[in-house]
Amino acid sequence: MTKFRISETMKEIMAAYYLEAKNAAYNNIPVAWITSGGPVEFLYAMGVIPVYPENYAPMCSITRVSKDLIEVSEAAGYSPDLCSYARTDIGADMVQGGPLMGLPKPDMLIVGTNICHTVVKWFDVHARKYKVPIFTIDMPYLHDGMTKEAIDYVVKQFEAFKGFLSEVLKKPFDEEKFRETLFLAAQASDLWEKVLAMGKKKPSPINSFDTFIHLAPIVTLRGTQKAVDYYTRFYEELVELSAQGFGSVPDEKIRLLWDNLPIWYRIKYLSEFFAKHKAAFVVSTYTNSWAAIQGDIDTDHALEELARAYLSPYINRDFKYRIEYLVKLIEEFSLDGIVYHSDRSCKPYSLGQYLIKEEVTKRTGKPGLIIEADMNDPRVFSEAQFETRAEAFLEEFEQ
Amino acid sequence: MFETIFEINRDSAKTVKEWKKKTGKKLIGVMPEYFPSEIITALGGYPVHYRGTHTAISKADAYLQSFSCTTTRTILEQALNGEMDEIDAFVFTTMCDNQQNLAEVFKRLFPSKPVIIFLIPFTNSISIRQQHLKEQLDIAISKLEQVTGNRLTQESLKKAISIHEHYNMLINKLYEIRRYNPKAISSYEFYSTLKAGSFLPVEEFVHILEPIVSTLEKKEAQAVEHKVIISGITPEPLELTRVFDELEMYIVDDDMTSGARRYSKGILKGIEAVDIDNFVFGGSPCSTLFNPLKDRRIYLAEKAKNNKAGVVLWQIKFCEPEAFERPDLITYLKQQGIQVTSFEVELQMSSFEGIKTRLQAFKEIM
Repeated sequence: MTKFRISETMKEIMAAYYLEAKNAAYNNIPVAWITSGGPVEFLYAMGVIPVYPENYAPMCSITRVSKDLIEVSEAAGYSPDLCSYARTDIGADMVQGGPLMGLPKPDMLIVGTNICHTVVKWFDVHARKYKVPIFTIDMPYLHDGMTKEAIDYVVKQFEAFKGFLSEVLKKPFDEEKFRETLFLAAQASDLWEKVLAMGKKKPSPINSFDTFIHLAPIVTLRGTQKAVDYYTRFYEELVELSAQGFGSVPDEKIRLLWDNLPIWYRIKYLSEFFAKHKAAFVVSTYTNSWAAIQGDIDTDHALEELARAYLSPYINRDFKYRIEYLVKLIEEFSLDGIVYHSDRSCKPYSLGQYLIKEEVTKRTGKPGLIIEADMNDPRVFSEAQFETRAEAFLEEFEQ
Repeated sequence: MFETIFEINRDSAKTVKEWKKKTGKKLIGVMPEYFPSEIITALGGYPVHYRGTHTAISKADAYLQSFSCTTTRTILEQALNGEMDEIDAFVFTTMCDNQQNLAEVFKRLFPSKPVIIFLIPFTNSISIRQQHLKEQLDIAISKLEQVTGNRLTQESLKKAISIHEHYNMLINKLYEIRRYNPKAISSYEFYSTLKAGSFLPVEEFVHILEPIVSTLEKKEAQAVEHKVIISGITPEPLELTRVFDELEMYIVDDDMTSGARRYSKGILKGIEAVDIDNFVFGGSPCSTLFNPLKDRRIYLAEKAKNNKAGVVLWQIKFCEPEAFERPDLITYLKQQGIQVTSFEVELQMSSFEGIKTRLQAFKEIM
């Protein structure tokens, strides 16, 4: 993984964010646990600190404690077939484990269904335990493309969400702060997209293993000035590096796309493995999902724009869209192939990959490789099996 | 008495093909639950429900990973085996991520057959939920009108409601018989009867149901011990119900998505927002439905107490909605003094020795 100047800053701002969250109760600041696709802008507008179990789970994985925490939740009866983020998070919550010794207690739970239905059931577990208000915003899967019905449905729920926050926090919804937050969120999102677009450069100054790590601020701090400042500086650094001809993978020969979530517990190993073969992941469908809030959102149609953005993640789109999107990325990023992580934990991302791979290869001639693994459960990953398949795949390009 | 029922299930594809020929109706495959079949009947269609079945999985493996639940994989296997060739259009409900993606797989593998999506809402606000359901229903009606070539009218809807009301009444009578006289009908016969109802036009199936219900009603009630309630998505593989019969463990009621959860809802009474909302969210709670106002733990505990029965959680491997609720559900039931056990199945399973041993042990402590 690439060592950027900005990397130290990320450690600092994320440490400050978690410190503030851990101390929230002492400072009388409400905390919401929210899903990764949840509309965080409403929370920042109301002075609520958003905390992401889906961010904490990979932190546990990278620090090599996810296996132990998963085993805690399994011992309590949670099936090994459930999402490994959920198992890690529930285990961490039971023993207050992981790098932060557990997350700060929630005052409310906020769920967005634009990534999966798993989160609905997962957060229900927390709702039963903590007996705090829960608000679920349904952002339905776009089987038939972006429709007016879907947008209107989400907008109505956003309005209801304002009412929910106002009631729980016992104060009026702060529309002015909300507009500011939206503006900052859109800026950060635009900048994140520019960061990701640097992958189009040859060689690419950034790769997907880098973006997986540098994703944290756009997920957690979207809607704050900190996120805008961070990605402004990051983008400038990448432009500078690219001008110098820097490639994040030395002697880049093969340009690939990573589909699905990262394999967090082996991220360093995978980064080194592919770099050794001069293969760079210059784009991923996963990180692109947080680059969707764009356009002139500071208008009377802000909620419509926001609804459109929150309905947009790749994982919330039909297969026809997914295929066309991958074909487009192959063109735009001059890709040689795609690695599909068939993620045992993530059904909505994974089920259908076989068909999508076949169709994308048929249309573009670019090969694909399916890796069977899991995003957070290290017991599922077989290094030997992975290397055999990946080496055979990479050899295709070397010939 | 049940030979006709067993015959329907023995080769459901053949059954469906024959009835399509007899009736000349458009066949609509419903996957798997909570779409009002009344609409299909009212449009002169013939609804057939697919909820996963006992079958070997081979062809579906080319399209779905093994970590997809076997409800999803066996439905696809049936389609790839040609068992759904007669179907004119599919209606999918988005009860879970597996079904949601299966709908997309069907769109790509069977492009000549329309795939109609009925989105199940997951939202806190009841008024927003109702409005969304109404929109979804209107969209589905319009697409089904295109498939069937018929228009929905007040009259056709009224007639369909009457047919489905009769069918629902008979099924609920069957449940009642099962509760007060469990020896009158074995678990295998009971769930075979429910399953057979998936494959025939409702107006025809009631003619098979009526004599069954009337014969069973006349049987003298006998007291039994070892009463249980099964809870889960669907009692498949169906053969497993025979194990309960062999062990003389009486399934006096259930909490199954394809069973009492569905039939407790009653039928669609009209096409207004409140009607479709009552249809989907009325009746008993379901792990696949988001409804913070209904707590399945309390519901199931009351059901078990009322029936003086233990609870058996019949779990299908990789079913997330059920698996997330299981630990808290077990804890709560135990706190309430209700005996509870669980087992996990895959629908292609044929050997039930392990489950039998578990059930035997459960029977001994009951």
